[in-house]
Amino acid sequence: MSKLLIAITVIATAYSFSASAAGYGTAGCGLGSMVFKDQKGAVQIFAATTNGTFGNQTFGITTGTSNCNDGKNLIGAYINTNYDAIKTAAARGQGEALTGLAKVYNCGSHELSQALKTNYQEVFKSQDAQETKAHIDNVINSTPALKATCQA
Amino acid sequence: MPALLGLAFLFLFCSPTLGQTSGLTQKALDLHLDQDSEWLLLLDYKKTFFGKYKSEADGLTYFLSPNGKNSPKDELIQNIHAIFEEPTINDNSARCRFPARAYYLAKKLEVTLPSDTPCGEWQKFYSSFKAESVSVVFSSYFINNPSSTFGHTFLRFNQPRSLQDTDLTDLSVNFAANPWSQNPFIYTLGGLIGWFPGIFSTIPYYYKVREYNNFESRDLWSYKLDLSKEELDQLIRHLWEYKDTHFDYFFFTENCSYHLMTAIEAAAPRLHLSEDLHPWVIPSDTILNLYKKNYVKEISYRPSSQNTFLGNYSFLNKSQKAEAKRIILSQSPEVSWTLPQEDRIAVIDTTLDWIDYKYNKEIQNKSSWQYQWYNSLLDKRAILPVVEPHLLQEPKIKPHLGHPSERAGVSFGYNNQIYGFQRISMRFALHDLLDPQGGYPENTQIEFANLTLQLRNHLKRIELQQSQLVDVITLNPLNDFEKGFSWKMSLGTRTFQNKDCFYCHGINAQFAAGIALGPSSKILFYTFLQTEPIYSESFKGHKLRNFVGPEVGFLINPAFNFKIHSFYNLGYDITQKNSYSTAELSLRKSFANKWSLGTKTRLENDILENSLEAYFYF
Repeated sequence: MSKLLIAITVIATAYSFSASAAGYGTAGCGLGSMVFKDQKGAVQIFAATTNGTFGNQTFGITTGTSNCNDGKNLIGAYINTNYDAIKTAAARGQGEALTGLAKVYNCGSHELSQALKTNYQEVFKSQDAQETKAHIDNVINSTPALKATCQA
Repeated sequence: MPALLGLAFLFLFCSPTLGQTSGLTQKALDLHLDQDSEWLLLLDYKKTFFGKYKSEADGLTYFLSPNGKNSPKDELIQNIHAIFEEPTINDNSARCRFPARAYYLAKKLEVTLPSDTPCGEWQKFYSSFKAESVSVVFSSYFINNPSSTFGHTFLRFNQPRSLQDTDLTDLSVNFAANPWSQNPFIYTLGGLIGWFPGIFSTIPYYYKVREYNNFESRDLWSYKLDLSKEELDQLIRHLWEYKDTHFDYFFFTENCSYHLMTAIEAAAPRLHLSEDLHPWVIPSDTILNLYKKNYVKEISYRPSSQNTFLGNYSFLNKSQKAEAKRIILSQSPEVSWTLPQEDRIAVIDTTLDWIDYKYNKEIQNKSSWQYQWYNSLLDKRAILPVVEPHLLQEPKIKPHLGHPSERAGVSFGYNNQIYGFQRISMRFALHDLLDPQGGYPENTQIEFANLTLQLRNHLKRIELQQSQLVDVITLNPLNDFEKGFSWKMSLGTRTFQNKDCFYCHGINAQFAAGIALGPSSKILFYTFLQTEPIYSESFKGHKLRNFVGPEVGFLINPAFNFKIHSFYNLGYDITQKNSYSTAELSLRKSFANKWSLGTKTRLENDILENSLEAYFYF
């Protein structure tokens, strides 16, 4: 009886933790552990996102500063991760994803939101983050009010 | 002899600075800095069972002395040498690699800190934060994955912001394990016994928002800490020191929340964050602790994609709701043209929220119908005008208002054979259907390691009443949009009654699935089909029996602190041709998230028990 109890305990523990693992990684927390997993759709997408043009798979203390938050990568990484949210906000003409986009471009949120809504079809015809960035750059360069302030 | 000469030469060569450092070393030792709590915190030293110090850091480059992991004193001496003595400073110098230690030592020893101008990498790291304050971010409950009720915590460094600004581009710092295997068994075992290295990482906050808010539909709560500028800077310095080291990751103890708390405490020792923690660290407990001690100066809430949808849907008027419902349920891209423009905007926006919540994975795939649907709605939305967004309300359930995770209980009662009994119970974590609601998800129970002992008065013997390893119930009331299953699962041992024997003990498991209906937010009915295998030596004949049958129940929540739960279960064992019935009614009222009192009436086959229960949460 006690052996059976031990066996059940071990199996149950294994299951309860693999359940949590499916949620957010062994150990409970973290992106580092999520990127390599393949059992969940969200995670696959996440892996795809991070494997994309601007992402980097190895995470460390400097990852966020050097790979996502630094100079030329900053805007690309932002668009890559927030693509759907930016697209939805652009169709609506407002939203936090656009406020963030304006911030990484260092320009006025209101003007950028307006320009992206007006040029919605042109900007979001591609689902590729890098191409979308080029389209956004084009919009900025052809809008005098934006060209003066944004860092396209 | 040549060696001795060489040594003499070396001594001559370095003596001027060495002289100064040994003076500093002497001063540090006179001040007992090696035993100073701030020094011990900065190097993650903890006292072992034998009373010696050992650092929890497992990457050996974290220490400058070969004995550093086990000797705060050797490490102190070596750090003073390395930080104040090195003639040239570059990115590889101790001054640049360990700026928090350098800052601490210079402050304590009252000497000028060598300039960090040559520390290019460190300076770049520091300036990328542009931090004005820091928040502990708690990601709550992951729907349909009750084990995530434990939550997760990470840090966000807040940049100065104006009112309309966003925190998406702030930097966050996360501690997580990097498992080298996805095999569930290795994964589990490794997580429990520390096989995987846990490391700190820095990632933009928008990344975490996408991960938790969108992909997992979890609310994010931010708790801005009341730290001084000096403490904030010291925290960033200290996080930089973790760059090349790791901590073996232990799911229950040295986990994400634990290392965040010790890192904050190292930068702000006055907070004494680790002293109130249980040996096992549950993320929601660390939030309760910060809140209770008044270390939080601002709380903010970022709704999950599910709560964004539900919130915006609740703002719709009757005809808008009807149209949104029609479009969502029929997955139609066509919004009725008879509606005024304002209504069409509201309906499309709400449907987009729904797709973002429900199909955020599917819309990544261009050939999916969800993507086509989403895209055609976006095309329609893009040509309609901009409207002001609604301000979503904070939910009443807030993580910092939860009860502590551990629970102790006593109960007294009697059965219909006129025997009195007394019980004591202890639960490791976390929340059952009748506990005070506080910060925990509604209609959900998740219990780990729940043990009850009982004394039946006429027997004068203490016996195990039940020991549940895990006991989870998730009731998802059906609504207009969601037709999700409700289910429960438990595993452990329990006392049971049947015609063969009374108060017998056996190993049991329960698996049940069914549906729940909530006519109002205060009442919920459910019905399950359940299977419960029980193994007991006390059974005559077959020792293993499997009872299969229906269960019906209801849960009433008149208030956050008063709940009623009742169920009836009938199981039938086909091999032995015997049935098993259980009916239960429980009421519980709680006080200040600390205490609760309740009654329970339970009829199991022919045995009726009535009891009074009291619980204490800590």
